Amino acid sequence: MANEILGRTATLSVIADATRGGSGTPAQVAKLTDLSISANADEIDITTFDNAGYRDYIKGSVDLTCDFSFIFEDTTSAGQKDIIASWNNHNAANSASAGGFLEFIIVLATDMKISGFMMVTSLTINTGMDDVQRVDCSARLVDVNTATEWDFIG
Amino acid sequence: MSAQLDVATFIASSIGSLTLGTNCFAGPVKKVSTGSGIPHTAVFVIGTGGLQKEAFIDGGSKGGLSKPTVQVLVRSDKNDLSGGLTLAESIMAVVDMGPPTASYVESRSNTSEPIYIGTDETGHHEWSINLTLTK
Repeated sequence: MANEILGRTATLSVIADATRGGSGTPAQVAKLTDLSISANADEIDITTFDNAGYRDYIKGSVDLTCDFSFIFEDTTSAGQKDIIASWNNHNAANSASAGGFLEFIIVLATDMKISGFMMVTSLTINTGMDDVQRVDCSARLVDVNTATEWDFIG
Repeated sequence: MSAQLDVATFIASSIGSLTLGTNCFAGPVKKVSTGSGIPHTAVFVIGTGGLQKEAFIDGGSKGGLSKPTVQVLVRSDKNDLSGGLTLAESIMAVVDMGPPTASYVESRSNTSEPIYIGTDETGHHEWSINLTLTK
């Protein structure tokens, strides 16, 4: 049995409420075509004269961003609407108020999940001549729940 | 339904002189046969596979954007170049940028005009219209 994990088995779901595990209903973002999570850490330069010419560093704060793309649907697609509403700071489709923040859960595999809150910081709508309309998004992930099972940070 | 049947049905319903199963067919070219009722002037829509489906990241539900391709082959009456060309152009006008059903997002011809491919062994002129559909 192969141990590799097929990319398309992942999911991104969002809940438009401000409370972790709140009352909103998770809505899977439909027709997702790309999903990437980027984990970054600041580098703090602590070089002194004692380092004899070699710079020295410690790690500072870490942060997570997420980039994803989906094929836009002009129908009831709560997850897509929530993403667009997040950028607009408008009310979302599956809860009373998004306020720009969405609770999210990304399932990479059965025992590899990451959850927390996201705000959409960039949203690009592509309307190619011979292609369907596509939306590219970037989001900042905050208050990430490190207690969830995720092999990279758990 | 298959793309070839969807397109054949759409062409037959859009062009007054064509009837599905009579002179417009989903499937490979049939020889003229008075016994089998296959006329000289006829249209055949053949599925040619298409491009690989663009899979969605959807938890493994196998959703995706399909791009099937079909070839529409137009056969004229014997030695009727202008009549065949007129029919081919009228078909091109409805199928290029004209999705056959609401299930399709788009239908695009790979060329601006029907491709003339010559005559068969019995003097029928033939044209090809190659379509890429999005579903």
